[in-house]
Amino acid sequence: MGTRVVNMVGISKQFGGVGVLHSVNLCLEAGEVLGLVGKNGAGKSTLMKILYGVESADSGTIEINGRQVGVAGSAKAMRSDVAMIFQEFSLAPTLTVAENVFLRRLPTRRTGLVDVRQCQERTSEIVRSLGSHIDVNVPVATLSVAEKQLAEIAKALSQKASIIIMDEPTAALTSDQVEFLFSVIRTLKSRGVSVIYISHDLKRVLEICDRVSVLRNGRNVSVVDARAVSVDDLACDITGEEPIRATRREIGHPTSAAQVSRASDSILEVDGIIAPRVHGVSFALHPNEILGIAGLSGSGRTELLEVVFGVSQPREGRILVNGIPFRGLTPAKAIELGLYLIPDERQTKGLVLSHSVQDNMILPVLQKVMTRFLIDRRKCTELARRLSQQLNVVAASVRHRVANLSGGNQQKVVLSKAFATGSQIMLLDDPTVGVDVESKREIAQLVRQHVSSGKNAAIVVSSELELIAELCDRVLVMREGAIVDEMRAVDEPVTEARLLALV
Amino acid sequence: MSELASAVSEKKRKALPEGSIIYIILAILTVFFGAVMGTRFLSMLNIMNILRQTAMISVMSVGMTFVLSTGEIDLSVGSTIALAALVSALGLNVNTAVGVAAGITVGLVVGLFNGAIVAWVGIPSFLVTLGSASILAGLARWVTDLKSVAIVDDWFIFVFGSGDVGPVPVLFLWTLAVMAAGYVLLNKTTFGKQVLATGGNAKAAYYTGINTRTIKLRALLLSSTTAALAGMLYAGRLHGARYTMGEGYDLSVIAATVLGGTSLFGGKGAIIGSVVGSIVIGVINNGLILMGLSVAQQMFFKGVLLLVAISINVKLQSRQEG
Repeated sequence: MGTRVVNMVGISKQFGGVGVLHSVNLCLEAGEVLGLVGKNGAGKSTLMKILYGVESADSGTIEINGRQVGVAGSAKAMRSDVAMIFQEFSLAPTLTVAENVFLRRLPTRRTGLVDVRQCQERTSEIVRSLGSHIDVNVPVATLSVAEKQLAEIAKALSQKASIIIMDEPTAALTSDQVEFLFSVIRTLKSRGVSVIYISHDLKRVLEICDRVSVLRNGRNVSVVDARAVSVDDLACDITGEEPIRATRREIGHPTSAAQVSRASDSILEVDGIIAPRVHGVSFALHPNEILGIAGLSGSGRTELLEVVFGVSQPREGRILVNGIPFRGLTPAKAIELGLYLIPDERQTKGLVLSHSVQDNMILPVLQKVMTRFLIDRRKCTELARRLSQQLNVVAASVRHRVANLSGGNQQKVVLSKAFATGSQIMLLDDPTVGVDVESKREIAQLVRQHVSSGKNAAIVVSSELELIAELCDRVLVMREGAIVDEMRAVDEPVTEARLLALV
Repeated sequence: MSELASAVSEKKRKALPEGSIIYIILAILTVFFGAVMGTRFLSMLNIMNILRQTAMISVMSVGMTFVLSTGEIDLSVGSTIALAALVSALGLNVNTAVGVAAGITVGLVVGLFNGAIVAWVGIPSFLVTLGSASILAGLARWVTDLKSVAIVDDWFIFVFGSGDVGPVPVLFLWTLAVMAAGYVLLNKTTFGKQVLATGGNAKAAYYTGINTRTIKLRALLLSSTTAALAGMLYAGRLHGARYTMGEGYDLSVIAATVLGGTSLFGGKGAIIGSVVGSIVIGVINNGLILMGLSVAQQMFFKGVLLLVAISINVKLQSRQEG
């Protein structure tokens, strides 16, 4: 029996009166990989920040490597034996790997200058011991995501961390890179380093972890042996649903999707699209349907939608709108054809933050607000007010800057542009991220309403599987660039747990 | 007591409509120079002179407003003046129409050149226009081998420079006409809205179907064409063209535009403000000369005044956005 390196007992935390963690326990053995899973908001990140020391807990105790440590956190109190590897890496892009690894403890010669050779040698040692051959003398910015990750791990090891927390480590990796990462993790295990592995990719979690701890709504649900549970069980623990063992589905080929694409009444067809992160996707969209694409970030869903909307060009494949194939689509052309994309990052791709609600809303429909060749201010305001009312955008006035609105209202402004163009085919990429509950419901309703009239339809892409399960008539599951499964609400209950098990 | 003060300043902050600071600065300067020099400054003659002198920068600042609003910059406008003036003057030796057309063509060609490289090769406009400025300066020296070209075409001289319509200089009419056209174009056309969106967030603008590349090209076309026009006005005023014309004007134009409320980062443009900014710079120049300051002193105080004016402007803008 190994020694216990981490023992967190009774950790509770509130943020402004809202309970985020309720008496949570977590223990970690030496040389073990512990999976930490749960929905967004279940408390995983907060718990890890408390362990790392940058966040304080309201109550509870923490023991690390046998020592009691306080629960009051601050940036200075970061524990040296704990290292955390985030999705957005904390490396300086213009410095080399070696410089990054030793950033705070650069070895110096007697002259006071940095001993570059020592940096390089010691870093190379660590990197090679992990089984990698990256050049430690190149700027980090030139490395791939997987290589950057390795650099982060090397940095952690050089700091003699015995506990490494990895937050969504495989989201941006290809299959091969994931395999390599797992071999690195196994090497770490053999050296007695313990890993806490946070991820939504349940298949991978069960592959690499020894045990898995499930959190839901800030509480412990279970701690299970990874070899003894199935992905479905885990998914049900996460969402709180009852496991449905009777109708366990097999992972199917996308043949059902291919069959559907032959249907003659499809208003949008995507045929064999190959693009960065998209490895051969085909599907069809029918009138009055909400098609969901469920997948984790990194599964290629955003790239797929951007190809459909013309933001980027596919290497291969065709897009057919109402049966007519198009090449060299641009957003302008796509809008003319009746498509509209609500992008995944509203602040960088969806809005001009410094402009008013009105100025944002009129952008795709400038022709509609003109009188005798000039923009008519009154028509602009009318349009903006009408849309604001229709979508319940809460703002002091339509002249207010969009930057001052809440996330939910900002998203509704983005959505209103689609409505302004009367788009027949709405593409929504993660439309409810960072949006309050009330607005989420409103957005779902608006999409539902829009789709039920005329020959409208919508594609909703999201990692919020609850949303997809509730809203969509048909769901395609996307994983590592390909459609791996399809579910139809009329055939079987599409539940969040099911989707979670498949993504 | 402090509550009252903060309530008043809150009201003041809300009471100041956006972009109005430049008018206040103009008013303060006018009062200052008027107080110091009385009728020497405030005479009709002097004011008309100021309007004549500022016409070129004013016209160019309108074009520059478009470029800055798209988030780009044009450093070649000063050099465009000289080349356009010379080419126009040479064209006038053939006949009036050729002279005018030739001058405008220079603007179009330069704008297309700058715009095409920025739009399709993707080099930042700062670098492209820095390079083309040098090319144009070289061309201006080459085209007449450093010799000046005189202009004797009376019609051209009247329309493009030295004429007066009653008490109002033709140059000021040009300023007004270009300002009005620019105002309508930026604020009331789809092009203008697309310009502002491109500068505000080029990516988001692209996602709404705006072709941001051609928007930037068209904006650079505007700045070069207004620069060419300014060159022709200059030539008309001086009755001739010389390769030194317009040297150093680039920064004055940009200063005028920024003073007037246009953001250097794009997304916000103020046409009238740019023209008023240009007049403010003209007033500073004029006032300092009338005060009898030496050239060295003029340059020094001009720099100081500009820095102060821009600082106030930027500070107030950020407070308004607060």
